[in-house]
Amino acid sequence: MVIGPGTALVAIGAGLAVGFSAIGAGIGVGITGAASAGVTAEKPEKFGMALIFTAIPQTQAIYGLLVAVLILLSGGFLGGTAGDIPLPIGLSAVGAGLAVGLAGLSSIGQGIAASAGVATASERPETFGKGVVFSVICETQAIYGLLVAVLILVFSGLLSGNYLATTAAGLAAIGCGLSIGLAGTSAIGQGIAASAGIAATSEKPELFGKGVVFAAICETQAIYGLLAAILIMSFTGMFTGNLVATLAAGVVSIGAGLATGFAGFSAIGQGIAAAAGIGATAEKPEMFGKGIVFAAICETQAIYGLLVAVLLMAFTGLISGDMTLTLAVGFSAIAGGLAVGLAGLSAIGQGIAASAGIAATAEKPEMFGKGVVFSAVCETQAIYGLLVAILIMVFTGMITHNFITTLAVGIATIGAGVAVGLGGFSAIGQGITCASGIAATARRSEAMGRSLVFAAMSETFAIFGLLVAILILFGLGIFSL
Amino acid sequence: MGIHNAFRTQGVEALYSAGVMEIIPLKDQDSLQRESLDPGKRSELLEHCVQYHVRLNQVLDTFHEIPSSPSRALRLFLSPPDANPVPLSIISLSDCFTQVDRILEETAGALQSKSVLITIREKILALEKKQKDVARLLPFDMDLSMTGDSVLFSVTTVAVQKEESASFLQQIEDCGGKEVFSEKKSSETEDVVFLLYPACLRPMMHTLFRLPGITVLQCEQCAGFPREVLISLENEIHHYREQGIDEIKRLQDFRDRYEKTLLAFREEVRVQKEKLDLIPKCGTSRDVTVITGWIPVSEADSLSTALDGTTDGHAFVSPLTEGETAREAPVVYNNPSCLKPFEFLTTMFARPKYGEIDPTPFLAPIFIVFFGLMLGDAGYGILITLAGFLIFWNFRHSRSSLHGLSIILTWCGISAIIFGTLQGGWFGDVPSRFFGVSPPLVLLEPIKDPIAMFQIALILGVLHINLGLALGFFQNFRRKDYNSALMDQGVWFIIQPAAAVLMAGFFGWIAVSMNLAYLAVVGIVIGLAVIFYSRGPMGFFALTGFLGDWLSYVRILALALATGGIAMTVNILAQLIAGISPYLIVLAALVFIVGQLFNLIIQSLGGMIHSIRLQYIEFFSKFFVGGGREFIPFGMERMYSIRGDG
Repeated sequence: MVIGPGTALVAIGAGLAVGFSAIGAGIGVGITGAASAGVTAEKPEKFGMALIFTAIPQTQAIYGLLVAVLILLSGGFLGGTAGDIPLPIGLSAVGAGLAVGLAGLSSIGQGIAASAGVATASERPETFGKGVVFSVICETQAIYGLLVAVLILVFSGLLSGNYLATTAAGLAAIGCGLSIGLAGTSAIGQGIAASAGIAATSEKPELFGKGVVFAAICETQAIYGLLAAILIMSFTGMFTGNLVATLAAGVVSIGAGLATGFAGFSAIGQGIAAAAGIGATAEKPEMFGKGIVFAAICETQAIYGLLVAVLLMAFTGLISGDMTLTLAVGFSAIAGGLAVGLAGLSAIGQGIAASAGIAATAEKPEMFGKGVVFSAVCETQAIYGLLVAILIMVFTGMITHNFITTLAVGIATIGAGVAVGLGGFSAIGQGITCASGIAATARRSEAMGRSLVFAAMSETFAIFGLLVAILILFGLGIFSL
Repeated sequence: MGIHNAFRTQGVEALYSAGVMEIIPLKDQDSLQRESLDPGKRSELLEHCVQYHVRLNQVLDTFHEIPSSPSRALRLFLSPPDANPVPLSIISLSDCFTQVDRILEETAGALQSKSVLITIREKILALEKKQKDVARLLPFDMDLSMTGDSVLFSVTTVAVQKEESASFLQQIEDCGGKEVFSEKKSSETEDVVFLLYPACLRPMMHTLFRLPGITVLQCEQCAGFPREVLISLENEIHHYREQGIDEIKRLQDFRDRYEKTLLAFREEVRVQKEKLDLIPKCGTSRDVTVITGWIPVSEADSLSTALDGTTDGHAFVSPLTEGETAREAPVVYNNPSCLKPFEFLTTMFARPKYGEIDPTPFLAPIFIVFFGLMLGDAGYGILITLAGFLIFWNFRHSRSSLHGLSIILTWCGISAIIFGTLQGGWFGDVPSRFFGVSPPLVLLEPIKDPIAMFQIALILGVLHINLGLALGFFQNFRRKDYNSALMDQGVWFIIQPAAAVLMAGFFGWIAVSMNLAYLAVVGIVIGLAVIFYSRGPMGFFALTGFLGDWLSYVRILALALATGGIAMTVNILAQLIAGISPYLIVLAALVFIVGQLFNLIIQSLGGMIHSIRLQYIEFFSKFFVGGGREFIPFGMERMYSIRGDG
């Protein structure tokens, strides 16, 4: 019996599947369990109801375990017959593990929603059904993760033992896993919105539909993640079995996956805004439309992520099947994906500002425009990320198909991507300032200018990131190519 | 409208049964006669109606004491109370009151049962408290009849929190010294202290008992040792519980016999109350009662004719011109009956403003089509259609919201059957996986050709968004707001084709001549100029917003693929389990059924939510604001009663 690197990766894939989903389910069940413990201390007769809510965020761990068992079973680990599995199949198993494992983090959001469900259903038993529906909505992300994992296992032939993968396709599977897995965190935003929905519907049952709409808009990021995964599978030939062989194409897929995956975190901001939107709609039904507008603003980052993912696939020839790209460009694609994806987290700041905007608009309708301006301020970081991603695409020759060839240069661009991407996190701080600025402006309109100055100070660090990114790209000499 | 006072009752009756006018009360700011007319006199009968309504409610409220049971919920579902209204034969209002009096007399026992139940509940609570206190005294093997005050001594037992125990005992000693006998028994959470002290120390001891962390145990009037007392308390509680069950049974009998009649009479009294309540809201002079209100234009003639008939020509209806109305008119939907169930989807976002386009006729078919595309499974479609039709059949005579929902569900199911067949989804890949056959009439399987589905989704997106833009353009044009028509909608009709030409040329999909390319560039420049002129720097977000709206439609592909993919996963799992051993076929079948059912519920929910989201966010944002006020006509649709006297 020979245990090769492929078999080792299969084991790692199983570990990732069960490990990451355990983190998610652990935290999610923990949050709900804490609420349940509190409720049953006061009302022991609510034990059964609390147990059902606490069990809801557990499913993610079950999905993780299921995929891990499937991987181990197919890899011969369970029968003690683990043989030499080809490296590409090992990579595919890692992709499947990442897909279901990372998507298992959705359990955190589900836990937030379910804990609100426990709290309200203990006071008003008639809200039980609605609480369960709101909690179950956050499961979609995990289901998408499971779906992609199973598709990878089926199409790579791991399940049937009829192996059908190239190293490039294996890497592409990792891209798929990152895309749907990381985007699964959008459930955290959805959970925040859903918990507000549960609270609102317990007071006003007629708000159920609107609450569900607010919660559902935070699912878009997961859908984009799923979409990118499907496109990657399709373009790398997984559906047809006509698999791509160019290694760089697999690396590009990872870049695309990182772009939509990390951009999926923007749903957390959207969830914060949507929760405020539900609260405002409960007080004033006419706030529904404006609440949706504020929440939808935070979706821009996800759109940038999806856009860059599709452009990366288009410009590198993945869509057209023109496989002349170099490995150096592949790594630049990772740089582009990180730039736009990580900068997508700026939406969290935007969501914080938007939630304040919603509150202010509910009180004073004339604050709508100013609220939107303050929220939009936090989007600059995302635009910097998009800018660097486009610069990378342009100057590594993706658009002209005059690809750079030096591998080290391609890897070095990742530095630029990380600089501007992580710099985008400064928007979270900026969002906090903007939220306060909105409140100040609502009280005194002349406070707007001063508040904007304070808000702009947080952006300095994003500009540092942008500057360093451009200096890196300049220093690499790619601007002169 | 004006009615001669001699014919007022008949006029109000005609107005009520027509149910087409929303009354503007005289005291309302909108009322035009506020200054010139006096309000009508409040009838004494109105007070009677209010009282009878309250009393009927009290009796109906007693039924809430009965614990809910699944069998009753099922019975109510299968036979909704409003589907079988009770015929009432009532000659006059006084006859109505007489009948209500009789029924209230017959059901007086229900009120009695409720008050007995409340007393029983209080007694049980008190006994349970006593039970807890006595249980704390189990370690003291003493006769509890000793506790309490006698002429010379007092015996008191108290529970003390652990952390307070030492200081409490110290204070007892400081207070009484050797005159107080105390004995302490400790449990895990607290200390229980037995105290025997002379009568003279009572005031001081009572002060100590009020300290925080100290609870005096209530076991006076108990005779015997704690263990015996606990048994007798348990028996007493059991006795009261049995009594409570008997009372609930009595209430159930009342409910079975009288609930429908009570609901019917309560409705009748409410109808009479509303009619009587109209007069104080009207303006009156010596001979005429003047009623002002909103009425749909289409109903004006029929109301006029009906009034003429019932008042023998002693009434007139006179429409007011637009300038004479102070506020915005309320809004009533004007859709054919097949679209009525979908109106609630529009209302959930916002009721259209007066004069605004009602999006329901566009929303309904598109919602159904998008749902079918997103679910994309004919097997699930059949189940949804069956469920929808069953609910529809059950609620066909009911005015419950389930009636409308069942119609939407049935349509959604039919759509899923059609698009599911075209997408080859029959519980996922059941036909090919288990039976080795290819399903018929398949046009496009999303899992085999996601790119084609991707393109279809984007094309549908363009069409849907442009429909919204066209509606917005038309609406602004109709309002003569040409500026908004150009800036908000018209500009996109320039940018879109120009961008399409440039994109198609860039990717080499079509050969673009130089002239066409220049024209497209000019179009883009003009479009951008208009956008940035009208919105300033925020115009950038208008562009990303439009792109986002368009890309958002790719969720159609994602959801269609998710349904098929998860169903396939369930099928693979069932196949794997069945393949291990023939004994596991039952488990495999169970996994198949539970998994498919779960997928059906989750994906149907997803299909509904995302189909409606595409309407609310991407479509409505192009033309629809909403915020109209609901039209609430004078008149009530009966749910529980019909007038058998005609």
